[in-house]
Amino acid sequence: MENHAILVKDYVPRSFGKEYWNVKGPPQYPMFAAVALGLKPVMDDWVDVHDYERLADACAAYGLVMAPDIVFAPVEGSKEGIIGGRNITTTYSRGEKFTGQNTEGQVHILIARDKQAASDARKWAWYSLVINGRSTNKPFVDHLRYGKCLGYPPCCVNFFRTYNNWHLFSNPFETLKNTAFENGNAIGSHYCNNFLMDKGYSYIHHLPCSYRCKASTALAQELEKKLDTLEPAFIQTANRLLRKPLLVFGEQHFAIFDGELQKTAGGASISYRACQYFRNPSRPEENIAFFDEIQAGDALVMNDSHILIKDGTTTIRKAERKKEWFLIDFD
Amino acid sequence: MAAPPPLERAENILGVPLHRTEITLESGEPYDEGASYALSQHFYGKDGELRNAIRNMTRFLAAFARQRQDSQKDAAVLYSLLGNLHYIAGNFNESANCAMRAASLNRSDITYWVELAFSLRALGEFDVFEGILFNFEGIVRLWQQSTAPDLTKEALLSLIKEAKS
Repeated sequence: MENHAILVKDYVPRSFGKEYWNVKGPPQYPMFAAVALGLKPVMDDWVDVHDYERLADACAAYGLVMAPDIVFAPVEGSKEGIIGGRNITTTYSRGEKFTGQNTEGQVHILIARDKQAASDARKWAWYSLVINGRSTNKPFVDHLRYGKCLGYPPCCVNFFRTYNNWHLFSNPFETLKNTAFENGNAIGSHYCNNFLMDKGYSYIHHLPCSYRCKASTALAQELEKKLDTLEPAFIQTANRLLRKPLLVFGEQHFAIFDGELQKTAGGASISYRACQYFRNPSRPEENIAFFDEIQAGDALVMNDSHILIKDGTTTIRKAERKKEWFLIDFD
Repeated sequence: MAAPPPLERAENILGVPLHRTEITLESGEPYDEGASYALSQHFYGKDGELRNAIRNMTRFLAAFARQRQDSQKDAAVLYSLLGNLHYIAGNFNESANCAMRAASLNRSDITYWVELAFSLRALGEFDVFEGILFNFEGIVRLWQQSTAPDLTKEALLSLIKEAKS
């Protein structure tokens, strides 16, 4: 296949939320819109320490306030020797107090319509940062409180409660297993497709309990309806991209295809014109080695044990399949 | 027949398997949220069961503290478990008090300092939370050397100030 076009390009808002986008770019644009439109109580985000005031101004333009939490400062070197290192991802950050005078790093912030809501959410918003060589996890119940504060559906918070341990579970795979298949339809609804959230294309910013979760779909549809009147080009682009089939390797780790998924008795296949690979930046050790071959091919067949990559009638790679990898399409 | 160890009795009272080991600065181990995790999974969202568990643990702990004044480390573990239950219930003043009591009874175990820090964060005391986490080892060592009988909020603020200086 010769077409190496980038499938997922950044969307630049024409008007609504442009001030936010100018500081932060695409990743949480729809969530900012949801908070600004009163559909979501609170969101959390990170902003470069030098852009803190600019983002505060952007929030104020929409009647929103920010509560700063802590600075995620860069770290060089491995996590070996860190107390609690097993609980943090390969790429991790050092915690630094936010003083307003910090010289590097990203401030973790809570954005809400009022100061109290932002401050209340901050109570449960701790992340396992490294401070003086020690990483400390928050009490587990804070994850559940935080999800509730951010407006996640109770069914999804409850699902997270069961499958949150990334040492034991692949969250997307568990979500897939919890998705009721409907004959003749795509596997998931594009309203519950959160894979592109870091590129700014997702109506939800949580791990859904199913790719057809009714509560997540309702939240997504509300946002779609309101934002469509303010930024219709975003909705058109998002709806097109969120319906494209994916090969999922794990959380934030997948390939998107411009093509069609076909389900067969023994597995599934995708014939495609173009594809793009997204790696999980926190877990570089999970990157797959055969994406170049996927890009060189024009079809991919997945069965119980293998992925076959084809170019025309020739198989150009047979890769062993991990059980938690899957193909999915959305309607 | 000897009574079962206090942790085993707490497990029976709460109906949750619990595992606790002492974690010291020297052990190089992080805070183990295993007990907090198990209790959260069992009790979160079950308000009635949680209220009963708090009542039963409080009674057990009061009796234990009366009868077994020689076993301060066990009492500390029980206070910590009760504090965890209060934390899940959203009684953060009570969970902070339990953590301070536990840290008074066993000055080696860092678990109680983490539990105290998060209880204070839940009360909106972000500066004190950060004061503990950013001066963790200093505070724990100062407390180990302190002759004060009980950790109080005032004592905590002094420890943070001293550790910073």
